[in-house]
Amino acid sequence: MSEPRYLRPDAAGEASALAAGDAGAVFLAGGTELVPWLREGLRHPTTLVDLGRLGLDQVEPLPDGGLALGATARLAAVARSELVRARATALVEAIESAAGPAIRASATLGGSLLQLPRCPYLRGGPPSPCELRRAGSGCSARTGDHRVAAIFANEGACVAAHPSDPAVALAALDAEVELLEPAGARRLSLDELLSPTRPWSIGGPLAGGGLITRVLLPAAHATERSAYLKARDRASFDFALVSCAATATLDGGVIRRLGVALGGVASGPWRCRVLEERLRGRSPGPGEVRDAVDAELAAADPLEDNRYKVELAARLIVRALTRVGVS
Amino acid sequence: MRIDLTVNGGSRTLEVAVGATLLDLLRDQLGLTGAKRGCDRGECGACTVLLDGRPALSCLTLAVSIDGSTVTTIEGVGAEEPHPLQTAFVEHDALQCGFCTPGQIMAGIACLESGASDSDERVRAWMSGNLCRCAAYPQIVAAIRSLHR
Repeated sequence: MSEPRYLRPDAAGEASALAAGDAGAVFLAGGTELVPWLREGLRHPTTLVDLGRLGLDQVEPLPDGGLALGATARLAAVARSELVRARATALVEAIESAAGPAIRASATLGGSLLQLPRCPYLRGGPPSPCELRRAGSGCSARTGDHRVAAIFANEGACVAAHPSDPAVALAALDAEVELLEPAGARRLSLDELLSPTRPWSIGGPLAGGGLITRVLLPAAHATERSAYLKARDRASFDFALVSCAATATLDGGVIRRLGVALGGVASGPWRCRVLEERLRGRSPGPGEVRDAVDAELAAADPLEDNRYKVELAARLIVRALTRVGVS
Repeated sequence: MRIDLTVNGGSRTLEVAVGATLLDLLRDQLGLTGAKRGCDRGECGACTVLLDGRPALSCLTLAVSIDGSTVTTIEGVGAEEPHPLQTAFVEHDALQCGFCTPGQIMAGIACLESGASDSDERVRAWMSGNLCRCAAYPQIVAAIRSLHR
């Protein structure tokens, strides 16, 4: 492969325009995800657009009471921020459960959302068929090792689960992603950016261009209790088998607002809207909570060797709800 | 691409390939072979250095992206006399083959500076990205904990 061109623009608009005008351009931020892509031949950029000089690494309060997290803010810096710690426990716990301190000190919030699957057939595994490496070649995980694969929306070509911990917390917290495109800026919900029913693609959800500039936490959840729980094979430095983020507003035991999202179960964070709908306005006991959990997970479509994730998800949801004061 | 770096206290102007990692630069261009190429994919921690004071995996860091930064490798630690953590590793028998030790020392220094050395559990979590195939883990934790202030 020939050496890619390297560009380091000073303004977000310039970075966005450079990428939009160059089909071979890939953004570079912390590098902890991009370098493996290059090494494993997952992407073959002809241009690297370095986002390091855009000044998008700040955490700032918004006039409406929300909080703006810069897309190139390092995960460690986001988790250390007093502004974040004061209002988004789930996000802090999600970040602190992700990778190890050296990776968290380099990896950025925006980059975390745009990771590719950790499927062994995609990443440095044997030369087995992989739909993401070559469309139409078949998915080795579907019939092979799929213990860590998705349990929702598995009818697509690839059965990998999204690996990001922060994305799950951000989904529960109703975060929005601010996107800069040549046509202008727009906002997407986490669901829109990382829809859990969307098929994976090697180019990612922003393959057509588009630069994440900020992640916006709404004012609505600023005083809520929130939590992030993560089940994994190792006690640390491992991706989630299943994770759960929850945030709730209670009024005398009655649930006024509830946000619950699962990680490790789909191609994006799985927002538990069936469960939220059932429990809103209720003061549920353990039986009612479990019924709502089961109703949510009724849509699960696990593979042969990851059926365990359904019960694991159920128990994580119950524990996360307990952490935020429900039941 | 030309970049300026401060490496172990000395200013360097270097010509680097766009695809070169900081680990490539240290080992192959500067002859600083203390940082080890273990997995070369961010899973073992043997290449850990300090980048502007924070721990970084040099195998996952593109050299072009750190223009203007300050890098400290194991060669920059205890150059005159051993760093207290190096002494603690010796006293606690925290190594066998030594391959992972440069990365362990750099990650351990960052752990001590971060304040995450106040319990065995937190040290284990902090150091979990640094593998030791000789399994000196209890001694590594003890060495770091012995310097907690």
